[in-house]
Amino acid sequence: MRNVHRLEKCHRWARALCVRPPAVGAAIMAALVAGAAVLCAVPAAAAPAGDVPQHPGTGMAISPPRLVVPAGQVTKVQRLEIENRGSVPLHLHVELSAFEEASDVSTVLRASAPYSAVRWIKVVPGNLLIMPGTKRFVQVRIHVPARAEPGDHYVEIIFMAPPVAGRGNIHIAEGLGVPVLITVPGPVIDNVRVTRLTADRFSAGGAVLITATLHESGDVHHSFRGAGERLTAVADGSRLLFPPFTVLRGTTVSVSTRWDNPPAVCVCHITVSVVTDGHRSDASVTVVIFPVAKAIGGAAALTGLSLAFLFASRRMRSRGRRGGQARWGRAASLPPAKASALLYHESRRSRPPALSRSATHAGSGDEDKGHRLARFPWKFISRRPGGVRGAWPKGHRVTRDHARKQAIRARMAATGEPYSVAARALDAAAPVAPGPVAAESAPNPEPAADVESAPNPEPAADAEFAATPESIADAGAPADAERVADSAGALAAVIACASRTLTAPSARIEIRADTDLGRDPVPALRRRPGLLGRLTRRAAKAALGRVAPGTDPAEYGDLFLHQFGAGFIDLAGGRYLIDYGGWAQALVDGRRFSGLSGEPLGPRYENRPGRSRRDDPLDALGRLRSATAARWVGGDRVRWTTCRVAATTVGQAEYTVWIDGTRIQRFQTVERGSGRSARATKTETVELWDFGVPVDSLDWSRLPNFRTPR
Amino acid sequence: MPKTSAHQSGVPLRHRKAAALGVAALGVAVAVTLPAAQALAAPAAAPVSASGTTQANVDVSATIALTDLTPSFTLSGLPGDTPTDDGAVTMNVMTNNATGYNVTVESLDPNLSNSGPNNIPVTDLQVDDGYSGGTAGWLPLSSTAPVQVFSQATPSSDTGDTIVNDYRMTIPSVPAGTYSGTLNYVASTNP
Repeated sequence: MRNVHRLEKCHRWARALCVRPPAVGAAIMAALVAGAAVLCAVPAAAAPAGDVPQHPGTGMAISPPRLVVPAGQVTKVQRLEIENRGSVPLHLHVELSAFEEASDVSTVLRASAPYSAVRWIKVVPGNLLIMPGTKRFVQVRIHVPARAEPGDHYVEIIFMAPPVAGRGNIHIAEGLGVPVLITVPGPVIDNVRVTRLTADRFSAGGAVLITATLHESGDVHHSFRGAGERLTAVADGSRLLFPPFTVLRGTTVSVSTRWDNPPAVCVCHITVSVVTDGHRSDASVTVVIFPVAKAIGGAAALTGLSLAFLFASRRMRSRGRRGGQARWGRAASLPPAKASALLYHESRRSRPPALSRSATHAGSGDEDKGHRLARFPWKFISRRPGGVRGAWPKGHRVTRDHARKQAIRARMAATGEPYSVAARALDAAAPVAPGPVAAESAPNPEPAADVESAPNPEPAADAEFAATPESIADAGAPADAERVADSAGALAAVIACASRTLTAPSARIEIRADTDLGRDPVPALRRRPGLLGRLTRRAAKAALGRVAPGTDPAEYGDLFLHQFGAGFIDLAGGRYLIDYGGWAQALVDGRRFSGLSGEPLGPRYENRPGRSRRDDPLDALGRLRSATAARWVGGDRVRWTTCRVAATTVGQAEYTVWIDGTRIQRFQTVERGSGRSARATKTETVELWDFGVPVDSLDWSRLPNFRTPR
Repeated sequence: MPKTSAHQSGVPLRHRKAAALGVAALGVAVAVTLPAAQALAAPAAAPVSASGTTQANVDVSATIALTDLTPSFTLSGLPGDTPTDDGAVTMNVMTNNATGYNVTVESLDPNLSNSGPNNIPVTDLQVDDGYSGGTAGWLPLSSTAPVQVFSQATPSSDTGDTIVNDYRMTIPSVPAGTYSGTLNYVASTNP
């Protein structure tokens, strides 16, 4: 509009020049002035057409949206630019109002707000018309009274446009306000302080909202707007910027920021500091961050897995007890054809390990799996007599119903009967024979396994470790009268041999511990485990694969149940070295050690002192010297020595002792389970031979590794 | 022959006027064509392969704009009714002010009046700013204290923030008629 007026003025000038008869110089001057006017007018006239956006209806914009007049510029005339962005002319009039700052840093118009500068301001022009798409400038003149209080004074300039005619009965007028912050020169202080810092004391994760409260008690406002002036919180090493804001004089405001990426778990201290005019104020808050939901989820998952594992193991145990009976019961309730199919299926599922391909391979030697065993450093590594490579020793319990078979073989060794004859004789005696042997000698539903293991070229060797007092007695040992009569002699012989053995210089020693869990050898009819069971099994296999890669989990049970150790014992010196193949134990200088084979003796592997171990051969020999009863139960050969076998009682324990008249060649004890494992037994056999073998050259400073592959 | 002044030389006045206009036109033509001629001549004098850089600066000023404000609305009903006009007033506020802005509404007069002597107090008129994210709840209008209907401490979006206000009124027992009033909406930047 102003440019249009200027054009009109120029045109009037040119016309005046033409009306008067000018001189030639005047005409030239007029021409130059006209040309200059055209040059000036063309760009100015383009401004309103293109640079002001337009919207239908009313609309306006003001720049700048706030005025800050520092102390040195109160006499300077300020300027505001107003644009009409609507499609209708704007008839604006100026209103002035005092204001104060709310706690959320917004302005609140109040007629009686403190530090008002309403009377100091004059806006020129006070009423103005702005055409659509054009802009106008207004002047803001400030007149500070002579005795004005130094410091900040505030006023808001409001440009109001009257409502546009519409169909409604409630009309809307629009206005834009410009806050003006005037600082009167004089001695002023800026004293802004952070008075409080709040945040959720506990966070379960996610962003943390931090709110700071500040108060300006000085005479001027404090602006936290510019770069480097923003209020900053320091949280766990992170710097968090608050949004820009200004604290007016005498005002308390609260501003918030979000800590979007806090650590997952921490006890975080958040601090905000403000320094003004040499004064420093701090506020801090501590936030505990802990992902409760995730922790509960993890705990629930672990609990679920544990419960699933327990449930699965209990169900397997229960099925193990009921499996055979249930299977035969189910078969009986089915038609003959289906019953045969079910029993055939079950027999396939419960195929004994000795007949399976992996079991066959395991029995033929460990040359092809030595690496796997070498990588497995635990005690229940494969244990064979003498620690030699090759086939498992005869009589080693690798088949089901082994107690019955061993009893049969013992009878074969004693009587020379064939296997089938000895088995029938034993079965005929089984119903009246008490004890675990009778229980294990129950009719076997799978005769195929018996038939397969029947041919035995070395019956004597088979019976070597399988002899029990009952089997030896059945094998035609001395008569009952002789046993009763010679019990005192047996006791004396056992005690004497034990004493002589303990005073012998040295010997080779082998220890075998065979554990029979006493469970039904036929696995129960097992359904395919559910999803949780499969996941649990897979997780267990994966964990085992990490611990001992390349090994078959099915072998571990057998290895654990049948342990074998070999070594040397210095009976007179009260020391021994026994290696179980990967795990070893030693008694040196009265201190017991157990741990990884080959490791140096030290506190790490030392057992608690004074603890008597049941599997300690020296302890066992010492107990035999205190035997309270004994009776001869037969004769036997231990390696190349003919021995008499005595059933010996030591306190509550029962021992079977093989003596050659001088020393104890072998002794065996059976430990029975209790409670739910009442059927379980652990048979431990200790064999001594090669008395006088030199042992001083052995390395008594380390756990032995005679049997450990190197 | 004595020299005479121009207006005394006997040259017809229209000829003098034409001459003056011609000189003026010449001046305008020179003024218009000179920059163009300079612009055309400059490349010819410049080296063929000259190069250089220039720095582009854009000076962005702070501003606040209020547009698309609803010009008026109507609440109609019987006495005792509570007509509600959801989205009765909408507007767009655009600002790049770093500390944000706020919007207030205040009645110009204490009453909504008709052509007669009857009035409805403007405090019966209530505004709800919850629709656009402001403080929830119905707030009565006033002619003495502005009611804040929106506030935020950050700049608006690039295209501006759309602010929506709902209005309602429990119509008092007043004679039938059209009761009118004016509401002043003021958008202001935070200091």
